[in-house]
Amino acid sequence: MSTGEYKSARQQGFLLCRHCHSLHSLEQQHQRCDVCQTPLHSRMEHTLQRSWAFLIASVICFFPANLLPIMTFKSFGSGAPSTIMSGIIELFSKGFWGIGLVVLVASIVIPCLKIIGMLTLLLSLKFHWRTSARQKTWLYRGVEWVGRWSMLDIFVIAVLVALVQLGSLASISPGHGATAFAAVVILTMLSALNFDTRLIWDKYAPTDTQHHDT
Amino acid sequence: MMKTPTSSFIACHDCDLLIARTRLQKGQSLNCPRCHAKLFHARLNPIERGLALAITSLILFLPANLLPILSLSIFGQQQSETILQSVLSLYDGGLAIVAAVVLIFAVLVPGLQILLLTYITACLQFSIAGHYLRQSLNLYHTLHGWGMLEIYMIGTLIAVIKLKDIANLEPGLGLYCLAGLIFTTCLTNSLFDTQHAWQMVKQRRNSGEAQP
Ligand SMILES: [Zn+2]
Ligand SMILES: [Zn+2]
Repeated sequence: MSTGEYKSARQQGFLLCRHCHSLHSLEQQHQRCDVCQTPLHSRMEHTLQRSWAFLIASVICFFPANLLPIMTFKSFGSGAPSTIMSGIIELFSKGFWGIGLVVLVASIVIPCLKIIGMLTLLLSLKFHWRTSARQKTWLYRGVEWVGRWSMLDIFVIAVLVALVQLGSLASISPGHGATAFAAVVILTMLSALNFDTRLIWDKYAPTDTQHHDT
Repeated sequence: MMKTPTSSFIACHDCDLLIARTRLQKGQSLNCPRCHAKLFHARLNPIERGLALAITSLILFLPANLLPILSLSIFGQQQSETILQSVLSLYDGGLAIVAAVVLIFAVLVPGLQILLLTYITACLQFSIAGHYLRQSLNLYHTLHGWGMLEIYMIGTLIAVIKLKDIANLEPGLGLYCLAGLIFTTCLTNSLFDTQHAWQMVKQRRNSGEAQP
């Protein structure tokens, strides 16, 4: 593996401030950065515990988010509540394949992939899976980049609820599934945010130090 | 002195690889040889451009929030919508948390980002002391990725498609301002970054130490 020849800043006695990207000596751990005043940590503190906690919370919210109605459309007094899935099916049945696919990807596929992606990363670190660190880094970047886009359905609901307020003629009211769904999106974003990618590469560090005689 | 080793190296923020510092030409960028993270981009006049974009965004922000984004007409009745109205409707519908989420990610965070960017770039461009420069840069860095105007825009378009069978929809002036605001935000993200600003803050501090 070519990663063996690389040395991390921590192994060489350095520490990077992730806020302002200035380099410090490792002895300044837990002190404040002299440039931006944020506390210095060679690796984020309790990163795995926090990442796990947010991920588990998001999995719990995932069920009400998909089972509870996100909104109710009423026209002339009649109408049924709709969930995320029934909204997508309705788009497909009306023939809006493209937009149905966008909503399907943003509301169901992305949250699922995010949860599976974070779970893979956390489990691979916990059980020291021998997978490529580079692949894991790209997996993390994918999860991080795509994460915010699942907020799409929340904004669709926000626009619909504001626009369709025509009394008994037609009205749309929001449902509590939306609260759970917003929670899923925010919790998965926080799970990714609290994950320190440098831990992926630290796995290769022990072999470095063993061969390195001082 | 301790300063020589730390200033001759940089570390990758994604994999902690220690790399010898090299001089970059304007427009060049440096990627991590191990994980390919973008470590530094020597952008052209990032402060000047950041300030110009911040002022443009500032001008667009109020109309994008106050003017109607969409108007709907059905059976002779009309209803128009602004971002703030969608927040209020969610609140009236009993979803206070979702209303807060939309308010934060579609109004407060983007607004705060624009204000912070204006303050940061103005301080650095015109060499104003800026007592809150450090805090502003930290906050700006933290807020990165939490502004979701472009997602709100796509959400609006999906709502249009969902409603176009049953009603007539007209885009409002707010929609054009919102589109402009999203354009300037994207440009800001590609032309300005906090790393360059921090370097200027460091330089200022060092020159301040040299001549007390
Ligand atoms: Zn710092
Ligand atoms: Zn790297």
